[in-house]
Amino acid sequence: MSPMMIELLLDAFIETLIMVGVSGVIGAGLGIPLGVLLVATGPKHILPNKAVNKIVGTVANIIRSTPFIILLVAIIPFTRFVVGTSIGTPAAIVPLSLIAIPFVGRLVESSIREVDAGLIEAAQAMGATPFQIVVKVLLPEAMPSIIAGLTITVVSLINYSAMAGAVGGGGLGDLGIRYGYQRFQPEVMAAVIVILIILVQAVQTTGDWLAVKLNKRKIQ
Amino acid sequence: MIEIQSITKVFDGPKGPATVLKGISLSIGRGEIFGIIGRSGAGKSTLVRCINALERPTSGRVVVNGVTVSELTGADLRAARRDIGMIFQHFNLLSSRTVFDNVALPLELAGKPKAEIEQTVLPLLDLVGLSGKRDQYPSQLSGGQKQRVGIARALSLKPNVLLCDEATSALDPETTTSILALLKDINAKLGLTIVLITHEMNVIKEICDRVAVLDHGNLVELGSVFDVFSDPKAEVSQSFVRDVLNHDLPSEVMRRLRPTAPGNPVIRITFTGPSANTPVIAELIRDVGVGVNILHGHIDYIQGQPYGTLAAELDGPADAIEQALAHIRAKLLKVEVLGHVADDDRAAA
Ligand SMILES: Nc1ncnc2c1ncn2[C@@H]1O[C@H](COP(=O)(O)OP(=O)(O)OP(=O)(O)O)[C@@H](O)[C@H]1O
Ligand SMILES: [Mg+2]
Repeated sequence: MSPMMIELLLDAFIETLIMVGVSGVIGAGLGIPLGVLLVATGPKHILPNKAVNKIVGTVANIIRSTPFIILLVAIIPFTRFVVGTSIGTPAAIVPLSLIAIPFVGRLVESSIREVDAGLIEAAQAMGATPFQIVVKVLLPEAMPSIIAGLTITVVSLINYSAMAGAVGGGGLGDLGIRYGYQRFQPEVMAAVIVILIILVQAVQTTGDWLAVKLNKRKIQ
Repeated sequence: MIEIQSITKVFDGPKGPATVLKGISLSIGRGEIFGIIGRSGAGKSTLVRCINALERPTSGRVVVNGVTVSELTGADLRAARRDIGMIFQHFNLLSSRTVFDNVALPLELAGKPKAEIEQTVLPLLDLVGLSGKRDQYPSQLSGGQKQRVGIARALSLKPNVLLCDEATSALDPETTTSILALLKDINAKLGLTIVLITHEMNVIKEICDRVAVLDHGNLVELGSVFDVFSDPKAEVSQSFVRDVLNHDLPSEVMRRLRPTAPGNPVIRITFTGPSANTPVIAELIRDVGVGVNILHGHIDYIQGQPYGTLAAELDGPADAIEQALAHIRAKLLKVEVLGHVADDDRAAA
């Protein structure tokens, strides 16, 4: 493989890392509160609010049910408004983040639901505020499961980022399509696939390790 | 200390509204260990959850330490709850926190500084006998140890009331005994008022001063543990007492009993409190001159007081038997004639 090709691969790899990294952080940063909101505003929970619960849940579902490739182009005006451009890596980050938020939200919602209701009751009996219950009880207790959910999210984002080529976002997937498929360079395609496999493997292994480490229910 | 004033609680169940508490009034004194017993679904948990306002009564009010908790909301409610500790059947410890951090949680929530938290938690771990386990996680503890953590946690804000909802129901009998001993110890040391829910009469017998019996949302009996044990009035109470005090006649004796004479009378004498020490049998034989054939006997200690029953067949002429019964009654013992056994029956048996 030519040095030029290696440099292209390296650039694409970095673009993928940036897209996935930034959208992953935004997805977690907004998705975790979203997940908390989805649970806490549910019936008989710590902050029951039927209207908020319904609206937020519906918006999350709409985003999640739109195919990513469609979302990518459908929100171009919004993307331009946020990052000032509709092409390039920054432009790809906007739709990736947008899909990541409800993705994380739903996973966090189910993680938090698994926390024993008895713990919430115990915290209420101690005089905890709803915010304290979230921060001191629900999130720490759900953390191993939330980490597992974030791992799934990152792997999915790596996958979605391959479609970023549609807005000129670059990244490994885009490189694979342009050189490997359109220019008949199967070795580029192979290299892209190998790098992606290693990347996904590394993410999954790290996520699993962290989830196990944080899980005090089963202590090694 | 705790005033429960004619509270009712209605839940919207799947089959329409269900009245779970039907007008209950109780008052629990400072430093008392008060038991609430009832079958599953009787409303025990609902009642006790009204005391720290985890549940709000549909009508009536609950006053704790002079504060009407059933009407509080927001910060006032949270402040009132800090004065009421609670422990649970399934412990409800945070699996992600160590023993120390679990006990520290209420203090953290109340915004106490680190140094004060340490000063409070360590003696509490000592009190419940878990000093050596401070850095372990709940998953590394036995059930009894977990409940000790629960107790230490409930005490960390120095409450004056401790609510225990089936606190020993998930534990084996030996561990139950040790946890009850700990509760009793805490009650004595800290002068804490303890309200304890259970469906096991043994638990009541072991540590409670007074007991309330709940049945289908009604308070059917209320009194000192000794009184309820020695003379249960309500049908549920009787069956609870029967579960733990084996004062029923063996079935062989029951089978031979006839409701009326002829035959010697079978009597049951109930000994309670000081009268339990009367040498009444010896007196019957020696002074009244009747034969006494003992069929069954049992004695229990409730709240340190003896409570026993003795079933016996009296043998002798009719007037001697009358005199014997009068003699027993004169000693302030309770005596009942259960029936009669005929001679031929006895021979056949
Ligand atoms: N939040 C609720 N909503 C609807 N019904 C409820 C609720 N909580 C309790 N109940 C009902 O109220 C009744 C009394 O419940 P409670 O938990 O007080 O009983 P309990 O005496 O503590 O029983 P157990 O020994 O099984 O714990 C039950 O029939 C129960 O189904
Ligand atoms: Mg209960």
